[in-house]
Amino acid sequence: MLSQFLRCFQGDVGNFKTQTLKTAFVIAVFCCFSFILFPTPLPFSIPKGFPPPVYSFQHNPLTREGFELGRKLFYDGRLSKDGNFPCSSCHQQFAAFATFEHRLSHGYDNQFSYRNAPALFNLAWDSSFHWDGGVSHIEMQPLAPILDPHEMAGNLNDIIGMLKKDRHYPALFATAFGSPGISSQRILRALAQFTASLVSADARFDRMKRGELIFNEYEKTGYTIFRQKCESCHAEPLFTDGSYRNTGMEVDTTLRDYGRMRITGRKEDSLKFRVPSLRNIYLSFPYGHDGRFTTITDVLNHYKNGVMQSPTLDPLLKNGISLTDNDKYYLIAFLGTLTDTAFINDKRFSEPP
Amino acid sequence: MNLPRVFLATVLLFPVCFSGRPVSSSPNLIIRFHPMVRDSPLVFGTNYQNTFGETFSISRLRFYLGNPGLDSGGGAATGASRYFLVDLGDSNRACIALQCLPGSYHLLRFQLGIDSLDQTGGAESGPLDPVQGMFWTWNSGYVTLKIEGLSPESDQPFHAITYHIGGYRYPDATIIPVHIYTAGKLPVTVSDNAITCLDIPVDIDRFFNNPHPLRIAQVPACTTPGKLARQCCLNFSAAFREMSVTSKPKP
Repeated sequence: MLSQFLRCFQGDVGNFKTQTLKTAFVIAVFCCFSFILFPTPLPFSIPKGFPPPVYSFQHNPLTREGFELGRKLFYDGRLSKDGNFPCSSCHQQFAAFATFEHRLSHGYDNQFSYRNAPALFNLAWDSSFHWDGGVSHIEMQPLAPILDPHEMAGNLNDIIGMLKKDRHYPALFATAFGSPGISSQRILRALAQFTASLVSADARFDRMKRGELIFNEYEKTGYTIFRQKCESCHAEPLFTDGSYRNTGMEVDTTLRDYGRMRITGRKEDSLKFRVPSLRNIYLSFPYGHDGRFTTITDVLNHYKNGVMQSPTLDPLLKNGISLTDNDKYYLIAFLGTLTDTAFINDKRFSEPP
Repeated sequence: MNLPRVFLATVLLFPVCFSGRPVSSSPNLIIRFHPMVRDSPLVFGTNYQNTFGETFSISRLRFYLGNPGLDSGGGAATGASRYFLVDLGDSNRACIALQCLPGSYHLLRFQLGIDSLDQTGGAESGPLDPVQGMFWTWNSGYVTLKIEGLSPESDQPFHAITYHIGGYRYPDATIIPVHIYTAGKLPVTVSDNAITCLDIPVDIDRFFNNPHPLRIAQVPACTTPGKLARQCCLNFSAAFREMSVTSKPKP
């Protein structure tokens, strides 16, 4: 294309008609290039009341083409060893991108994941990932499930080779990143454009905050109880403070999971797990790092009288949380206001056609 | 197609079309690493004995080297790229090429491992690309050093020895500065019209015993960050012996 472009400068200058055609050709060529050079920027809007995000798409500008590429990769089973386990097999949109109704998720060769798959939303506000915080950057997060032999059991070189041979991917990468080429960096950045865009901030709760509706009496009472008894860890507006805490869950003897201690190697971190967000909690059951709680009532009963004492137990839970049956009833009503139906039905995030 | 984009593309493309190829000056400093067991060259897959009399063979030996440069007294020197992945199992990848300002220097310095900020900076390319197999996915971070092999002393499956040494959190960070001198601390001269080669023996026996004794029978593997990883890394940083210098004119 370039040589054609250069050749047109050496043509017959006298012929006006030819010259006009050539000019049109040059413009057409540049149109093609401009499309390659400049994918369409996508705005990332911060919901009202949210803090500035941790991930600001630095070095990885959010674009329509980058986002769409990430979306396609997220739903592509060929990123896994046997083709059966796309990211979306464990992160289902109708379950707020958690695994619906599974304590542990299914992986390659009839294996299970080590922990309960977290729901995916508002990830741009997370500075670390996993129940133990072992992953420190949103772009590096997908490597864990992709390469884990129990989950997708993939191999980066195989994936890159597969994408290069595909009919569509090479062009999609070229348009998303402005030049041809498929690398792990580009795969991870495209995935980050998609996952960081999964923003959930349009639940009944958010609309109440924006003054668009008012809570009913149950929700209102539940919200008051929530602020007294839950908010110190599940802080608004993300409904997590991002910290790691021991909530008094006994160690499962088959998993022997000691949480954050595995990452830091510090005894003080034994049995500490990340505080999960309560947004979309109606959709993301079962609960807990190993999914041991089937219902919200199970979780509340644990806090009421199931907390196991241990040296690293969170001081706030030393005596459990006093909750009457009425408290639980109202709390559950309030937690229902955190379900974002617009988010789980958002076509932008669903499997591409 | 909107006009501002077409315009921008035009402006950006013209220099691409009409500029000459960028001038790149060629490297004038080559650093070559040579795996050794005491004074014998180490051949991969061959049995040797460490100081403790334990038999071992090596099948993989790779490490990250960062911020290389030559120093003269308090003066500065240069490095080209920030990080290199050195593979002692492949002579082509056991050397790195640098550009260095002409001068007289008396030590080579670099660090083993990757700075903590670069550990958490997101998806990388080049030497830090995770396809290099030197990145931990479940506990984010680059592996500073990988030594793999076999030893009858190892109680691990296949009698494997596996040292995947990483971790960037203090006090157990596996990020360690290394200073290397010539024998007698003679100066190294670098000029623009010659290639200076620094040959550095890496004595694997020291990895097992200096300064921390790591008997294979007791420590056949280390694959998590922590105190032991730090000790392994310190031992490896002491495995670099005095360098020898040769110089040849640039082709």
